[in-house]
Amino acid sequence: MKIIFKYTKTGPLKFISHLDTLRALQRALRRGKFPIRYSEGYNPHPKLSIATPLPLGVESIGEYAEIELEQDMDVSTFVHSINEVLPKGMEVVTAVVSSKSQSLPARVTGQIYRVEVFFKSEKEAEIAKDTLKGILDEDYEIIRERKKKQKIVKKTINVPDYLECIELKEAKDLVIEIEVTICFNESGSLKIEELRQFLYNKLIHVDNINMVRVGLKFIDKVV
Amino acid sequence: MLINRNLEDILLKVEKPARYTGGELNSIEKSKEDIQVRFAFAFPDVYEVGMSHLGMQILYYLLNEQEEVWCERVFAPWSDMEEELRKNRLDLFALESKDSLREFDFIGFTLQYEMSYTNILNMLNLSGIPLESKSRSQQDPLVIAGGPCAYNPEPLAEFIDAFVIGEGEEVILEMINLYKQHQSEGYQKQEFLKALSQIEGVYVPEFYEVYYNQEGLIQERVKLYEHAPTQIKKRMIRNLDQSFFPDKTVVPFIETVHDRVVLELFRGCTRGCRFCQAGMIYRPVRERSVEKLLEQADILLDNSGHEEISLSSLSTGDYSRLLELAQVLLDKYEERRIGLSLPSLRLDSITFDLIERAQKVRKSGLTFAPEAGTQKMRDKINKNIHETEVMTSIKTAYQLGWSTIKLYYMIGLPEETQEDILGIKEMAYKIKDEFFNRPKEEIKGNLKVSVSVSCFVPKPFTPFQWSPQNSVETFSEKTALLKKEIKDKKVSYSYHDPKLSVLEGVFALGDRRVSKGLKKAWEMGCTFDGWRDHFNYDKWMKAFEEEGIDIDFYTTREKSYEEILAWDFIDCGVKKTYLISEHEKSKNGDKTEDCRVYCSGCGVNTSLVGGPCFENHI
Repeated sequence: MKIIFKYTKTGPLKFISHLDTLRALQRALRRGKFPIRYSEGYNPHPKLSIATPLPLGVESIGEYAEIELEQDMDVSTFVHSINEVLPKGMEVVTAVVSSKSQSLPARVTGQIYRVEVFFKSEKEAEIAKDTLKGILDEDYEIIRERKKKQKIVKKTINVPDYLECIELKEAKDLVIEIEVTICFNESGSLKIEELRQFLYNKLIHVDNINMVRVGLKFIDKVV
Repeated sequence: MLINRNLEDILLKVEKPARYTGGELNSIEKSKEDIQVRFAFAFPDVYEVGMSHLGMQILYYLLNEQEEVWCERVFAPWSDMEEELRKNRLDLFALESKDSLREFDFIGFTLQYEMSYTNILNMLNLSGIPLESKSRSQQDPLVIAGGPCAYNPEPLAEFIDAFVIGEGEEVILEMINLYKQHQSEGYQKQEFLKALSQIEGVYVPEFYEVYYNQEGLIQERVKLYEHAPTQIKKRMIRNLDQSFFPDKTVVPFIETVHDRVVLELFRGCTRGCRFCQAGMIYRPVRERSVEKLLEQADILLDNSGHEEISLSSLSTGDYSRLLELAQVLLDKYEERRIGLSLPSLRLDSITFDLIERAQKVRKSGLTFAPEAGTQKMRDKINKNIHETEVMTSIKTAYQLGWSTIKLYYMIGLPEETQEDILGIKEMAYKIKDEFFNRPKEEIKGNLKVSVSVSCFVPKPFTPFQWSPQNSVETFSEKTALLKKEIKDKKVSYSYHDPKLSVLEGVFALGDRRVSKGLKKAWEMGCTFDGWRDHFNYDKWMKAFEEEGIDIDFYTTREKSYEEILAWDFIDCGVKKTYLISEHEKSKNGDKTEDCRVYCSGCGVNTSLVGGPCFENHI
């Protein structure tokens, strides 16, 4: 059976990479003695996949992964048992049985971040609230540099093309809290640093930005 | 555990930030208020190396089992992190509490290899702790050190308050208890060190003065504290089944060098290879029982989730119940896809069936360590393997489908001739030919023979402790000769940097005077000398020159049996007369039997064991 679960990755765990996260999950599953299914072939590996990588340095309360088990298992037992063996900073919040054959990573269409923007004065925070309203209407181009075999390849991208919506959630004193949905398109996705740069430049007088991933978007309902 | 904003900003800038965050599975957090003794276990290399060290894991849990002690970990920060720490005026901190090392009662360094010494100085300096023992006050932490390199503690004598010689499980607790007692009675550093020097296995260098004669040889060692012991006797755990072993290990999040369950089958080695320090200082052999090991494997796997078990000892193939142990482990864990790796197997004791099964789970090449290229040289170093045995093993290996062979050799061994060096090539070529010397239909896979050559470093407490080491030039001629000679697509050749090996020789064989060169080199920016990209030989040579240290005096000079060696005051159980007789036998190419076959009278049985080393001993 296939189980899709939603979990958190917080605290010092935000400093570990995608592959490290995968290994941490695999080891937790081993500690919990879950009946993991392995791939066939020369070098079998557990059938476990994480929906999409989380950027290093970002915490998340909405990560998704899919695991295949050899034997059926009650979903609530799964959640309870895995939480007993996960390292501090990781916790499974929900899980469902999946009958879809399409893999979880293939179903991801976007990622949702909750962004706290800190300002130095309340006035600046007020102005930013207005700026937000039409923030995606104007093009905003940045140059993305990539090293390709010793050469630096430059590519111009338009940030709003990658942003599905930016929504004001809360505003209090010096802080405004927004929700940003980054969508995946043919040319890939927006990097978290590019989003940060965009917000710094658009909202002016930003003191600090704090981002947490809160969830992902899928082509269909997942959990 | 606190990562403040400042530290967080830094962590986002450095490579592999999880080296510095702590919080790994099974790491231990305590509340400072309840703690009487704070101990920082310091590994003077980068996180990934230090976390692979079994000794750290053992002592970490042993100390943390004591309610009033909190043992934390600290590793050498990589250069990017060092730069950030210095730029932001932050002290080097321990991973668990993020507190500066200055706030600790003890900083305990483990000395695994000489080339980590500059990192020790750097770590102290990064914490704002004075380097020299005599410059540290009452308020500063006590800086202690142990591990294999502590068998010649003298190059670090200026910097370390106390050394622990031998196995640490018992003596470390005795030290902590003594400290607690002194704390309750009003701690005075001097008084404490005096009391500490009375514990067996503890060496407090400041209680001794060393005098040198006109030739620069040691004239005598004079005690400055009358009750300080003349000889420091190593500590040893008698019964491994009863000794402390943790039921869990800290499981790193990032990839480390060895990241798996390690079962320590035994300590010591009975082979008596004459170049091998470990084979002498860890005597006698003491085995853990299969029952105990299986119990440990179970509990460690359950608590870590590791996917591999490795059997670790000096010569794993010599474990008296190896077959039985490996078979049970394979049977038990095959289904859970837990791999078994069998390192440092000696080719005369390989059990192929076993390896083949182990390889099913994880596939790797076969490793052999003939150490020398000719039989004459192997006899001299007492590596009791005959070429025919090697070839038989290789033949079987090929038949079973192996095609990747790794071979380890040394150059610069005492009385080496060109024939011995070329013998390395000849043996590797013979091994290659054996592969193709079979019916065509049997030849499967793509043969790869890798020859790895290291440069011999004479080590204290070995029969070769008096032998001269080759100079950088001589080593380089030899490595170049092999490079010229080994020209085959199927045979690859790599060798260790002779410069690094010579420097290793200086600190392995050095006395108190080389410490000045160490400090100077560190001041000139040397750290992580064991890392190729960091090692700067020219800086080192400049440092020695400025301090007036002649490295040839320590390395290429042949020492006489009468000379007082810098480490003679340490008693590792093996008698000097035995080392001399082994050295003489080496000259004649006479072999010495394995201790399990015949006791050659090294002295360990009388001085440490108080009886025969094994049951039913001959």
